[in-house]
Amino acid sequence: MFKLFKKDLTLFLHDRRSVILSFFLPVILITLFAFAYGSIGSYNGRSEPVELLVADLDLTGSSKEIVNKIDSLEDIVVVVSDSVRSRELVIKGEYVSALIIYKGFQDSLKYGNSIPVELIYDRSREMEIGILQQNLISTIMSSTGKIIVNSSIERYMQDQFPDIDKNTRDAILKTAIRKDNNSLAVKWTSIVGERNDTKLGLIQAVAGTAILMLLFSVAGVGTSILEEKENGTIKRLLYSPLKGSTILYSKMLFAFFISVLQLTAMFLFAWLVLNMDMNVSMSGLILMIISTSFAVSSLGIFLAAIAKTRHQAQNLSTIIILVMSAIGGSMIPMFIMPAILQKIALVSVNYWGIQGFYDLFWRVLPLEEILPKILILMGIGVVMTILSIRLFRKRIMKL
Amino acid sequence: MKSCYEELSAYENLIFWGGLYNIPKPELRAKAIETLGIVDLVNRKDDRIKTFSGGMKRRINIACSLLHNPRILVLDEPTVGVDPQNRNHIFEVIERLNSEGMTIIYTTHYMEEAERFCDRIAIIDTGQIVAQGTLKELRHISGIEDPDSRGTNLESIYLKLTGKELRD
Repeated sequence: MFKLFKKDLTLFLHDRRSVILSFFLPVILITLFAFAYGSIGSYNGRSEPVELLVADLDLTGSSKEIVNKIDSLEDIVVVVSDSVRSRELVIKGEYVSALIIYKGFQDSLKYGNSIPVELIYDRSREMEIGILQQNLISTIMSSTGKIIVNSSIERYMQDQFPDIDKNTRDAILKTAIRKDNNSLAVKWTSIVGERNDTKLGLIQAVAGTAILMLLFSVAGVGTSILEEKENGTIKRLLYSPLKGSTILYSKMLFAFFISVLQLTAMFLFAWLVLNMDMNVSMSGLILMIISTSFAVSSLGIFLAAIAKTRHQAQNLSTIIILVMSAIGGSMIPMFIMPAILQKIALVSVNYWGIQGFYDLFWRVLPLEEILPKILILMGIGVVMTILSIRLFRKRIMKL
Repeated sequence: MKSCYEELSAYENLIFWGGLYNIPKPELRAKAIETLGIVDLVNRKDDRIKTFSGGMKRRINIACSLLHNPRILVLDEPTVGVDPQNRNHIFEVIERLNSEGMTIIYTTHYMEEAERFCDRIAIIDTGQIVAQGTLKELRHISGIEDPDSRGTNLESIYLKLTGKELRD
């Protein structure tokens, strides 16, 4: 197996085009995208409501009223939680934002103090934040403002004009509320991406581009099996003492090796040249590189396995890779994609790889939190490998 | 059919193909040079196969098959599209190997080549063996017995046994 692997490595190094495509082109693209993604604007194509975690620590009539009002909004779905869990879920990326209504909320309203409400959020989810901004703030402001002004003016009028009739008092209150209800503010706190210096655009550029280019490289390795079939070298190998499975496994090993090498080179470049902050879980990074490489290399081999000729494999690979990369977040960041595309993205290997690297570099999560994504990538790799072996044995690895 | 790795040099190809038969490295290196000598490509050993002519590719192809000293060598139309000098060289190599005791199974569309090398000949048509034996036996089978008259060569025997209709 090592001899085959060494032969493939020598062939690869002799092929300048492959070396350039594998290492230099991604570096150029990463650099370009890193600059381009720095100025991404907002996008309003979302059609589904945003889920908002709400932790009501006050549990009073006023706080419950606010929660009910938010829940009645079309664009927001309230998910009740506690403050600690809410913070965790936002950091892990499972929810975009959490509204925490602290104890003393009702009293603050009553006495006209600043209201103890905080919105913690993940600033990478620009589009959802925009929706929250539009709906949530106006609802909170109008509700709390009304209560505050109501209670303070009512107190004042009762003290100063105890004999005034109810209709006149209500009219004065309405006017006062309209004038006064914009003076309140909710505290907005970004809690994700604060522990690492790496900019969001850089993570997107490195992870997205690296996986896209990786897919192209391993698809090339996959199609080399068909090239060998067409050249007659596979036949010659099958006449040698080697087993058919050894030939296939060595190709897979080579595709995996090139993937690991390429991903490592990309992150090294990002670290040394683009100042990517590597202060993340190293075991997480190593396992992410290994699992992503395994999934991507298996997919590359699988694409070659379903094609009949090298030419067909090349065309098929290009189309599938580009489509999968587009929906999986390699070309356009997931957080500016419409909700429907974000769901479709789950079938893409790019999605799991990129999200895993987001967890590492943006959310700075420990290994155990990234493990589910690593396992999904390994699962994709295992399924693709089994299918590829079956297809290759049936169609190629026989005399 | 190339059957060799075009991006590797002649020597690298020999080392790779020979290595599959677990020949010890020092022995393999010596054997690679010796085999390159047989096919007269020692001076091109470090050049990539993709820079070789068709005839040179055929010769290196044969060389790759000789490293593990096979008892039987299968050659599938080794002289197709090859210039006379290369063709002659391939003939010399085949005759040399045969004289050294190697059995050679040689497939060809050139009947004069089969006549020149083969002790036994099998005539195959549409994937089926139509007749086999020595040239003398084939003459007998085909009914063309007179060795001195026109049309007694292998091509005539072949056409007699398989017909003159064109094949797809």
